[in-house]
Amino acid sequence: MFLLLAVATALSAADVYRVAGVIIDSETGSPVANASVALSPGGESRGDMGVITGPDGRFSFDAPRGIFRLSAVVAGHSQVFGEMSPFSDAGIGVVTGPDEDTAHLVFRWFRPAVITGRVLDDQGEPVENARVKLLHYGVADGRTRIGPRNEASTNDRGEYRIWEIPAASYYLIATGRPWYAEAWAVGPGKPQAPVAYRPVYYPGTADVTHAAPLTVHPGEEAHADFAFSAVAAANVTVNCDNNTSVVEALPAAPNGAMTLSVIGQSIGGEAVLSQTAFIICPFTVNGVLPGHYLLRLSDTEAAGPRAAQRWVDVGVGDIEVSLSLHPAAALSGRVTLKNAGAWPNGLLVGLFRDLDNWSETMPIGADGSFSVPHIEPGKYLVSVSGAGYYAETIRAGDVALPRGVVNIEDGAELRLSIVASNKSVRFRGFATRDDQPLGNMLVVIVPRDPVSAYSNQGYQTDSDGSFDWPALPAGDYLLFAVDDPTIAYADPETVKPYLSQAKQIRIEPGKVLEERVPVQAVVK
Amino acid sequence: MVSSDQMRGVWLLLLLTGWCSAQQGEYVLAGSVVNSRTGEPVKRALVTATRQATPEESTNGAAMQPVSASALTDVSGAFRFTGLAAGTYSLWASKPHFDAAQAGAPIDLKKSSREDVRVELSPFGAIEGRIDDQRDEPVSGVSLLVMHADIADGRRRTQLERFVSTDDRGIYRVWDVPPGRYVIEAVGSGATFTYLDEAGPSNGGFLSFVPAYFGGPTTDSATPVVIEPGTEARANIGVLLQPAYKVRGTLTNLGTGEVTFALFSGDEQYGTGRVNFSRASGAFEMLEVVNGSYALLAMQNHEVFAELPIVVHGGDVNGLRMALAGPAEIPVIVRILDQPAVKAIPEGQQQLEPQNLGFCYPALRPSSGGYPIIPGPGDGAIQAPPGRYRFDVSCGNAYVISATLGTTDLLANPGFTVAPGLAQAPIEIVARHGGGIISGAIKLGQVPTGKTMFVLAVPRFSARAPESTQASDDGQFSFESLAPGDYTLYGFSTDQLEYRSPEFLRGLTGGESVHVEDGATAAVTITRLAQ
Repeated sequence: MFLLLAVATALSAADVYRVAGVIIDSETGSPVANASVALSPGGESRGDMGVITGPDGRFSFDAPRGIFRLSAVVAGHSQVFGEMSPFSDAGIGVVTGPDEDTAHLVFRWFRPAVITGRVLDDQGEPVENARVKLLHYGVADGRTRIGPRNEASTNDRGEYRIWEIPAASYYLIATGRPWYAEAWAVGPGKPQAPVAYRPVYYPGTADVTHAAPLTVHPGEEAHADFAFSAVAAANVTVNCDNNTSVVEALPAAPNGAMTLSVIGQSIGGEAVLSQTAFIICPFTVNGVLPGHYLLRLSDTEAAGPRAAQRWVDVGVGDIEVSLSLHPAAALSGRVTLKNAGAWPNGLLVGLFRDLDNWSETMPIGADGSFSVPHIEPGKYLVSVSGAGYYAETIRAGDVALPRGVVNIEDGAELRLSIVASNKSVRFRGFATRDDQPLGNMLVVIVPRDPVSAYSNQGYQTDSDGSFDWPALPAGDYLLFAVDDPTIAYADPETVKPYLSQAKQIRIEPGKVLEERVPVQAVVK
Repeated sequence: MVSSDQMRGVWLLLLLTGWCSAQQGEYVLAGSVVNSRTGEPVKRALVTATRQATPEESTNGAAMQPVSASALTDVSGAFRFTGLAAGTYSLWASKPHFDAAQAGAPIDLKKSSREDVRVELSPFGAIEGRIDDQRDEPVSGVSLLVMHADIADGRRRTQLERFVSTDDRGIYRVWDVPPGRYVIEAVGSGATFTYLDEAGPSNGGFLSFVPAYFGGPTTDSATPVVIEPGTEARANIGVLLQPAYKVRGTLTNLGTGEVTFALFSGDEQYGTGRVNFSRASGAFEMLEVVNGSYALLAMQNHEVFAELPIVVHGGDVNGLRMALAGPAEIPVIVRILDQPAVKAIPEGQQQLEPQNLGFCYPALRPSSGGYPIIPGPGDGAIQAPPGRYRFDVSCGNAYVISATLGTTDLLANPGFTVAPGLAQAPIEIVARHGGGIISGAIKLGQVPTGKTMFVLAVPRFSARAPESTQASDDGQFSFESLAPGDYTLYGFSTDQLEYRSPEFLRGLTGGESVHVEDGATAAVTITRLAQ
């Protein structure tokens, strides 16, 4: 794993090492010409050395002793040496030194893939401005996740094209509006019955439970066409029971900050389907498809933050929904430092919300307190960072929150007690097979304390087979290495088969630990 | 999937609700929508019939909004509204990739139905092309500037119409392009990325190309793409990929606001790779610059500027130092000779009639396009950012005798350069109150009129720019406040005249000579169009 960590190494003019090799196509094995290959020293972004490969795909640099990032750009697409899967970490570092063979590197180039297709309406006419969204399905940061990747719009011929995507598995969702939907609403009196397109999921289904990922291989051009069907939709009018103050206050506060979110089922679970900011009640969401939705209203500008949410069933025919604003959910707490002393500067509490990948950090007061006066309900990951600190345990009342995961209910006032520590230790070593260090392996540590707020960590070994965590929390861990860097190491079930042969290690402050860990074969 | 029967249900529902919202009545409004270019029916065009309020309804407030109904045409392009109330209707049709259009005159449904209304929709055009390098390999991520090209104020002008990028196949496409002439340029991206820390990231980008146009290397040599209704044009551009280098330096005198960088070669702006800029240190790094001589321009908030000539030749350029400075202030002195004495206005009285005073104000037109810079009212100076400009002067009730910048005669040589931060020589304009008048008419014998005519008055006594005017519908035209001297008048049936080009003027034939004297009116009749 390449880290932005400058390795302090004594240099002399004589210490020059060759970093050389060939860049080859991962599928065909043939050399890649016209690749812009760059070698950058660790921790520095300037002073790159760059070469353009010829027909033989060869590159060569003379570099001092150290750790380097080797990267290549081919036709605008960049990759880092040692990148096993596009959503693993950023590849591996090239470590130069007297005992390192860095002159025969093989840089496997994964040609990007393309997904393209057409979106037509129910009359076979192309749909312009349809959005096709790509959600990556696979392992990222050790977790199997579904995460947004690229999106594209269709042109006048209904064609979309998403290129330079890493070969992987993707869910695809096509959304759009009939071009005449807005025009239909023109008219006096009662608004006309709206029409809308149902979202269509690959492989051509409007039923989200039948959506399946499309797997593309390096260099492949995959096709995925979509056909929309127009269905009668409904206008949903949201009334706010106790919102008069906002309406009256509006001339003075034109930036009233009421936000309405429509949450519904999408790939991978609930997702925010639409969000409209700066609304004034009553507010109408036009052209809502039949379905089951959570309407969530939040008002952050009121004297005290307020919120409301309600599940609604939308069928054919307009509906009105009343939402009662009440004080919004709030999160507060206190951070206690395990080792008492002067309160360090720059200590932060971090929040990450799964639903929409929202994240925020907030400062911690000198007395250890922090507060978020307004927080949306949902599942959050809580962390502490800054000045070398991390959260050791997080409790809500008497309940420990393993891995720092907390669920916040609508209107709840939650108080957290966090114990933070800076007793972190540098931990390094080598992944070995038959006692020989092996690069490009995955080294994993698993905290043994079941209520630890800390999660499993993975490290893709550098070219010399080394791993190097600059700051790991003190504690008891299980340590193992596996010959596939792409496994979901953060998932307890995935790591289970490797734990019986894992090493038990204790990381203690003041002790620099070095370990050699044998590589296990991946369990498929 | 929804079956076609269900879909018919949806359409019917839409049609009925549209119909219900119009007032109930007995009349039918029907017809068809056709493609103006091919005459073919346009299916699924949206047709909206709007009933205009009668004067009575307007006065008694019964119809605050017009009453309308909408429908989509069927496969034969036909539409039909039934049960409409008596009244006057306007009818609009629209469909993606067609210019929305109204059916001629308002339709009267007071005594009878109308079932023969024809609405013509004119299709937009599209331009598609591929950008290849010298090895015929596609180049992805190239920015394409699609510029509408026409002639305004006697000069060729290009205005950005669309901005697109090539995909991985080197292909770009723009659609819904209105009829006209377009110049297409391929450039690098050139966006500035600001970083708060000392040094932003540096990435690759070792190859780039000199901007290129469809059909030629410069704007003037480019081949315009002519778009008529429904044209599907192709415009491939070849670029010469070559090694590109980095240009690095430090920008000082930073204030607050957005910093952007641009590279010029002559009047042409060069596309570059991204520019990394550190707000903390002022360090900048421009990527993907190919060999050449350039002017490097930096600006903050379009208020302060720095410019530096640079040469890139086979390697990175490092250590540049640029200091931001305010725009150059160019003093402006205007003298009007023979200006009538201004009558003093008695205390407390408003001046109702404007004095017949002569006035002149200069305008600096940036060569790179954009709005002209003119002094504000009462200003004795122009605030001009560094760059190249063309001088222009407009006068009323007066004619220009001379305009100079130092020793340069701006009437004969209107182009000049403004350097940042330097003291500038003043622009001096001398004009004389009054001037001569030409009053004339175009009478073209058999040639059918009904077309708008334009007239050029080309001075024969100096190299100053011609004057142009548009004739009225009956062919009458006039020029006022002309400098005395001999002129040749030319008549045209278009205003797309490049009359500020000496080549254009040299090639003109078929003019009428006229002599203009100060304070006098010269009469002229144009009986033929100029060639």
